[in-house]
Amino acid sequence: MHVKLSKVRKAYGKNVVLNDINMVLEKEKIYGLVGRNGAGKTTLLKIIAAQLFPSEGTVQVNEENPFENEAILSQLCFVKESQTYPDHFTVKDILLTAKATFPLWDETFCQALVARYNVPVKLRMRKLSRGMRSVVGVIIGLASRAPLTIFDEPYLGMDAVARQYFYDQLLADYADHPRTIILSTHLIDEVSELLEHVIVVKEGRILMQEDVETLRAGAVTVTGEKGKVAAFIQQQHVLSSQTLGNVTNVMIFGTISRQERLQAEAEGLSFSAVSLQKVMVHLTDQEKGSA
Amino acid sequence: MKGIRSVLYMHWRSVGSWVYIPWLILGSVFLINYGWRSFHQDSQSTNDVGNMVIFIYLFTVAWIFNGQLFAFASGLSIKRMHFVLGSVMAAILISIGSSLLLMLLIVVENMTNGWGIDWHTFSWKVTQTFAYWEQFAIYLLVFLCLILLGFFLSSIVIRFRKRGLLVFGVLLYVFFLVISNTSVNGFDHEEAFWTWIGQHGLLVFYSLIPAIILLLFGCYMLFMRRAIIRS
Repeated sequence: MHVKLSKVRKAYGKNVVLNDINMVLEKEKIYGLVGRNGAGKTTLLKIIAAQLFPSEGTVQVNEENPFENEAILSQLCFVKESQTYPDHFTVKDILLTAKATFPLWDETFCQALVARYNVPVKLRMRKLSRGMRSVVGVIIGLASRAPLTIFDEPYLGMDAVARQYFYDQLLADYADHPRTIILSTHLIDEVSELLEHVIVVKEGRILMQEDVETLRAGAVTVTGEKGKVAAFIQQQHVLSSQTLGNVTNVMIFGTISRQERLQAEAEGLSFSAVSLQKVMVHLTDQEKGSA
Repeated sequence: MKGIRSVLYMHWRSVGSWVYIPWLILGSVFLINYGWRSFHQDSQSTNDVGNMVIFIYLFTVAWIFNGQLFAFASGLSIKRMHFVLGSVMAAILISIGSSLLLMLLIVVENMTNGWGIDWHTFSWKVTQTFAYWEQFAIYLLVFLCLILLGFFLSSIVIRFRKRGLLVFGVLLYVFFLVISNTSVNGFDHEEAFWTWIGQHGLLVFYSLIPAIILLLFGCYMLFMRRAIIRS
């Protein structure tokens, strides 16, 4: 499914949560939405899912307004960490209702996930641990096979093994059934292998929209003699810098040609790759992020 | 339309709270009362409002479920209007079922001359002389009215938070204050008015309750149309 947001703004009174959001999500791609707490990620996702109304601007999913639009909503699954369930519903009730709701629901896949995660289906949802509640959300998101699936920090409380199984299943299922997936997360390094495109949100605005490969290629750490490093980074976007004696270590983000790199290496500078997590931390850091 | 079916399914999965628990409570109340009255019989025929417990219970369940099921339905991307229509359809089905069960008990109550002790707990005194179909219609309308009232009050909280409920309470209080003041001071023929109401009570009931039901349905739909989940 194709998503387009134009000049979207969301404010609660004087508190502006989102401002001037313009973005296009192409169909059948996996997007990562990253940003610090309170950056506006959940609000943005809720607006895409028509669970919130923008104060200004337009939202289009497959060229249509998703608000009260059955054709769009039936193709959309939004799994959020804050999802509440009826107190009296068991896990079985939840999954049966989801099955009755999503037209592309895969019951076999659902049962396989339930068995793998060892979900106690007869228990009431409110009795489950935080992690197990997240697992139920993840199962719904995966088994729904919705053409637009949104995960808003779906892994809260899930241990590393459970999270890795989720990522593996997401990738495997995506390969068989391509769909547009938006994954809002703090654990960028964990999901970096899944993502094709990253959207960075900072203080209610989109700071960056890049392909993961571009981000990976663009961020490097340059290490070397202080003066030489300073000369090299003059035209670069510096994310962070550390100096110890005469040796400086600078994280930069930009485009370095092969020739520039070879020349710098010949002058004694060394380059090392930077994790996506580190890039995001520095990009979204309040003081340094504006650099 | 799949959304409406899903909402009906959600209510069906809640059958324990909609059906089993209220009837178990009513049954327990009945048995305790029956036991007590069997040992403390007097010669007088008695008529209480024991069945009120099920009306109040269903009103409360409707209020609680509307909020909880809406949050869940919203997570499943079900249209708000489908949620409203599905819930109202469930309310109608529950009202019909509950009225039928109540009628069944009333029939047994009448056949056994008030459970053998001239005790009428399932039928209301004012409706005892009515035909069965009329009693059924009255119970059906009252059930539906109370369930929709629960949905409506919950929709106020969802749409306008608790502050909305407070404003609604104040408005309702002012409304009744004006009405009562008008009826005391405004009508020259106040006594005749109330006498007429007394004589045509059923007509008033049949006109007023459906009007209230439609009003509740309209307001419920209006408030839920732009309802959001604030979690």
